[in-house]
Amino acid sequence: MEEENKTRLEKQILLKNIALQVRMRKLILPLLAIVLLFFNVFSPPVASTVLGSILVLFSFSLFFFAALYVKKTPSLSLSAIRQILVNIIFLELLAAWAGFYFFSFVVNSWLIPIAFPASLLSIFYLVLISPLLEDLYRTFFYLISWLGLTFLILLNHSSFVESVSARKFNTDIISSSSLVSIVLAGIAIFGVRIIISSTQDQSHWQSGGLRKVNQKLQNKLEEKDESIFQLRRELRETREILQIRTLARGKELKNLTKNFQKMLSKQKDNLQAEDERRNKIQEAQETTKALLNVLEDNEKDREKLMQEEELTTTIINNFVDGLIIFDPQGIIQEVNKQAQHVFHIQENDVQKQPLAILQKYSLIAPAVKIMIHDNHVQLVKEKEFSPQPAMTMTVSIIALQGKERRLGYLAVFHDVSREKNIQKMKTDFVSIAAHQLRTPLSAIKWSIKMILDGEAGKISAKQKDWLNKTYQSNERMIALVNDLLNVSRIEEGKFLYDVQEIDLRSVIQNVLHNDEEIIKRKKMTVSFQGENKEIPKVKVDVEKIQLAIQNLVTNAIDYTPAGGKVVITLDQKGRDVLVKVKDTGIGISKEDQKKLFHRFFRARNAIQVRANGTGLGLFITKNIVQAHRGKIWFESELGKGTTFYLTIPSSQS
Amino acid sequence: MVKRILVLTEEKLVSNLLKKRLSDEDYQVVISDDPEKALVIIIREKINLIVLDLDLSDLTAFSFLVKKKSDSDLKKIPVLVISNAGQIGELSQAQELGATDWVLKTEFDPGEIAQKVKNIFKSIKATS
Repeated sequence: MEEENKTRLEKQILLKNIALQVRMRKLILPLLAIVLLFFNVFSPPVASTVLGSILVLFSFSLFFFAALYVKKTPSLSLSAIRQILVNIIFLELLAAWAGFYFFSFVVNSWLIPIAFPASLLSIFYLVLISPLLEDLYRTFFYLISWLGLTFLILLNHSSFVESVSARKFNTDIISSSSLVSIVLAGIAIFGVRIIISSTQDQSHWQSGGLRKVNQKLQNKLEEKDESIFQLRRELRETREILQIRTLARGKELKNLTKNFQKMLSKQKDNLQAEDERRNKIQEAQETTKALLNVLEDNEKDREKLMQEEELTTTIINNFVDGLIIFDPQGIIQEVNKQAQHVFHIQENDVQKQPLAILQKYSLIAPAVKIMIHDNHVQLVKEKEFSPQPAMTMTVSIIALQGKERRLGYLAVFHDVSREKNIQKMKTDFVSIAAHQLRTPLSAIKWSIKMILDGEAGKISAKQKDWLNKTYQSNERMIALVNDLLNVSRIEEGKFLYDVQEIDLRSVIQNVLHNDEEIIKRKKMTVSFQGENKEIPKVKVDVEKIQLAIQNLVTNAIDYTPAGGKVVITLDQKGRDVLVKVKDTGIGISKEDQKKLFHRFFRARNAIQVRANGTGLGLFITKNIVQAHRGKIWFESELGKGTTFYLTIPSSQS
Repeated sequence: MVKRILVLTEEKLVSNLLKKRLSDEDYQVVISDDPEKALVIIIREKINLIVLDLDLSDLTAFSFLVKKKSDSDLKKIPVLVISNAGQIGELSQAQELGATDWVLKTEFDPGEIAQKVKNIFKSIKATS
């Protein structure tokens, strides 16, 4: 409905335009004629100039606008274009001609010859195109009007030239000539009309008999003519209407097509847009998904981090040892519960404070002296201090090294009071056990030995044999007690107490002294190389390191046949002090070498040589050496001998 | 001149066995179980060597060594320490306090101890 209304409205506008065009054409010509006449008669030269200019401009602009109109309205039919063109050209020529004419008044007389042929040309042209213009009658009327006007102008012109050349301006002449011109024009028009009508009455001049018939026929013909004319007119009108309708319809169709095309392209665009939109939505969905994944991952990471942090905090707080964490500048970051409890510290009182503030707390003050030296944090390991009597703690400072930078330090406070106590108890036990067990054993040993040696009088061979067996059993018992004491010393090897800075030479000398008797008995050559060499001192638990070296030397003597050779060498190896014990003994098989440091392990050939060994000596030795951050290893060949190496870091390192 | 040896121990068996064995080697042996009295005996009997049992009750053996070391007359008299404990710390302490030598009772028999005594006298003779 709307479309229809629109089309109808457009049609109406179009019709109105055309009607206006026709009316304008009919109006403009007489109007112009009057204006021209008026100016011709009364105008002063200035007005003529202005009008002339306007008309010239009008003539060109008219053509321009007409051309523009035709170009912008592709729906115009050829005949319509022709009509418009004719009208335009007509108006244009008229305007051009009039313009030139008015110019000629003020500018130069030589323009007049241009204006004159132009007017003639326009007339000629009008004649040429007249068949195109409506009916002949009208054309003719135009032509006559035109001729009349030209004539009038020419007349005026001559009188004007005349007045100019005579240097006088006779308005009377002009007005009178103008008046004459108008009259003449009127006569001309009238004459033309008479000529036309006389042409129509041509039949008057034909024979009388036939005149009536002729008249009748004429009348009939006239009637027919009239009706034909009428019909033609109607037909023309119909054609015009049809043309208009076709035009309108065409335009409508064109519009429709245009709209349809528009719609199509719009649809197409829409489809494309839809596709793009879908793609974008998909992309957006994927992005959202990816983002969600990232977010989820982030969330997971965060949770993980939080969990880890919680775990770390929990571990730190529930750690059995006291922990104090401080940054590289020595500012306290965290004090765990155990440290707070042991040292009677409130975390809030010391947090974000320099480490030295701990000196205010008497329990931890001795440790602070170990931790800080010359205002610098010291990296220490298990340094003992005593917060109060009967309490021993160790402090270790560990550098917390991150991937790129130092995060700070961790101070670990470990209570070793219990270990110390146990250690003391153990030492006491060993001492008591040794004393209590060995006393009767030594009494038995000495008594039997004396009897066997005949100190209590002569004994029979049988008595001697029995006593010998008893003596051997007692010897085994003594070995067993030694084993027992060694077992209780195993754990001792892992802890170092009473560390002193000493020269290992004295230790080796003591060891050799202990074995003096057996060396003599077995007629062995035992030498100590490096006894006079200057060797760096070592920081060791003397009792333990002596036990370790004693084990090696005693083993070398025990497992080397009588008359064999043992060489003990003390030397420096880099920053370490090296003790080498070389023998020409039974050696250790490849198979047994792997298990040599194992607890209770004894090499097969060693059992054969000495039945009452314990398999603990090397195990204890290894523990002791490792507790001193030293190393122990050996080289051995079955039947040829063994060399044991033992290193202890020197006090300088 | 006969060497005079003091055996200071609370174990009767040890002192008897040592007395028997050392007498065989032509030493004059005096026995004591009291460190306080022993200090007097050493001067009175002009003792040349002391065999000291570290296993005297109440660690009196060490106080005996301390006292002996602080006395300029007694200082030079050699001491052979015999012990059952055999703790290295104990032995080194005894050495610091002037013990000339030591033996672990379970590792030695009286004959070997007599040999040790002989060695000590030999080394003293060599140095003097």
